[in-house]
Amino acid sequence: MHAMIRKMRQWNRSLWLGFALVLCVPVNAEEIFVVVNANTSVDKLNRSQVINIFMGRSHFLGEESNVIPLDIRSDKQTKALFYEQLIKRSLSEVQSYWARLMFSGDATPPKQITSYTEIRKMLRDYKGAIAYLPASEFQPDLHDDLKVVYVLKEP
Amino acid sequence: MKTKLIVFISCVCWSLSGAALDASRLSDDLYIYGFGTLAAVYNSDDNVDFIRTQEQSQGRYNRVNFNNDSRIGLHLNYRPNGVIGAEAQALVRYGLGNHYELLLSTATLKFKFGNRWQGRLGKFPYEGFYRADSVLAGYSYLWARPPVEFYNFNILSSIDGASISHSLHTRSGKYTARLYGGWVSTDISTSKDIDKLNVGRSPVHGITLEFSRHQWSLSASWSELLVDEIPERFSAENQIPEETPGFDTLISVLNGTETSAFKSEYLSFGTAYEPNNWRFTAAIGRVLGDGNVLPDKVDWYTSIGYRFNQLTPYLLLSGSKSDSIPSISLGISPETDRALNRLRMDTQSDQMSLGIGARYELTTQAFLKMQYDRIDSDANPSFLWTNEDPDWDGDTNLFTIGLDFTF
Repeated sequence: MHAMIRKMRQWNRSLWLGFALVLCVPVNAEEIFVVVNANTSVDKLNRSQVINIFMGRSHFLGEESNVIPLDIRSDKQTKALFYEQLIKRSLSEVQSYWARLMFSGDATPPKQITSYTEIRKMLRDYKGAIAYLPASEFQPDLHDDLKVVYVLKEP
Repeated sequence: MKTKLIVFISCVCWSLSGAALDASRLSDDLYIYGFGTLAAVYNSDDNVDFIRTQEQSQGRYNRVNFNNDSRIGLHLNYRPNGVIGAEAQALVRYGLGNHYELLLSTATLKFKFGNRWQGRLGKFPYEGFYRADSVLAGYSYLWARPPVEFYNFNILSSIDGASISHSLHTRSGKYTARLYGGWVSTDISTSKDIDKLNVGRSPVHGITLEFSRHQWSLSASWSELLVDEIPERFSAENQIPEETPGFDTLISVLNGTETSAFKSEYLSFGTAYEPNNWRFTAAIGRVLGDGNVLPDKVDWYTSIGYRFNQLTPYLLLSGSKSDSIPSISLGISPETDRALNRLRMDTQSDQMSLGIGARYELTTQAFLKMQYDRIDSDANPSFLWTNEDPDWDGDTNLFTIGLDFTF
């Protein structure tokens, strides 16, 4: 009986230790950068401006009046994290939001791009393009033709 | 029928698999995407049948009904350049003919004039009330169905005509003003005795103002509809016994002033506020009728929800109440006045519903919605109820379960 109680206590300790570890390890702690062409006149955006651009409510990016927001198609995890942190909505809710606008013919969602390489190319080619990149896909030294206008951080 | 079912189920599976994450691009200029709902509605009351819109037949329905909400739609968007474009939407849903019907709900040419002006020509969604432009796509909604009270009068889903809109994208958000006019392109059913009422060719026009930013969206609209052909059920000759004293005077009074045609104005205001995980929506509409056919009334609803990861439980409260009308006297006889006032009272409505539901996200493109509605009708609950038994007390419970998806 005593052995059994001792074993249960050990399990209990292990469980608490495991739980504490789960709490300590940050999940998806990577920063997400909102990036534009380095020649764009805008240097910084606030949260509301980023939201308005990615939700189709603003066409302005500094002096550029034809902003082209870009979405990553292949990296669902980053995409979900971006919208969750930016507007507190799940991807399903974002889809619902766009469904209403698309099916009523009122607006079109951000362009869906298959890879980060293609996104970076579009950012270089179009002054009005704007996209989000996880830290692993953006290195300031390597990508000096792009600039960060907003940073989303895990709260 | 079997082929249709296979196509329908295939679309559901495709959507559930998450394979089709975004609009399918057929070419650089042409996009195709679709939506659908597979749903069942259970009506707890044997004494009455329920229909979702007046664009559905008023025939007999089972207590468990798979036809009220189930539908599938395809949307084509052609954008060869930034100036012109075209859109078309086809929908298969249960209609007036007591079977699934193919409906062309949108067929529009679009023109852009600079960054701010846009014109549309063709068939496009009616937008007389808050978020009416996407009423056909269940995936757009938080709740399982539009509240009965708010949508009962709004019989129009699309119009044939033209619109012009002006959008202003500012740093604070987006402002849009849209002016439209045309003709109704919908048939509706008004009673089980009449197959359908063709309200097509009836002119409709209106204006919508919208503002959206960050967590807010606001919309205000006004529209006016003129229907020349009135439903037979409202015809005075069919409802007043010929032997009623002063019958001819009564008919001429009603026909001459009130029931020969009807015009109605609709004022609507709606808002959505979505801070963090909270979801709040409210809308109110004011019908300004034109006599006995449509009395003045107010429709409203409000919903509040909170998202816990994939699950969003919500509450929905809605109501519809017509203005009380004072009795009038023609001075012919009490019997004449009673007949007249009974006819006028027949279009009164007073109904409230309480809904409790939840939306569960299965994938980014499909969710399951369950909803319970308690409906209390106090006066002539006629709009979306059919085959009413005289014993029906006006109350019923509806249980809805539906799978909404896009592909």
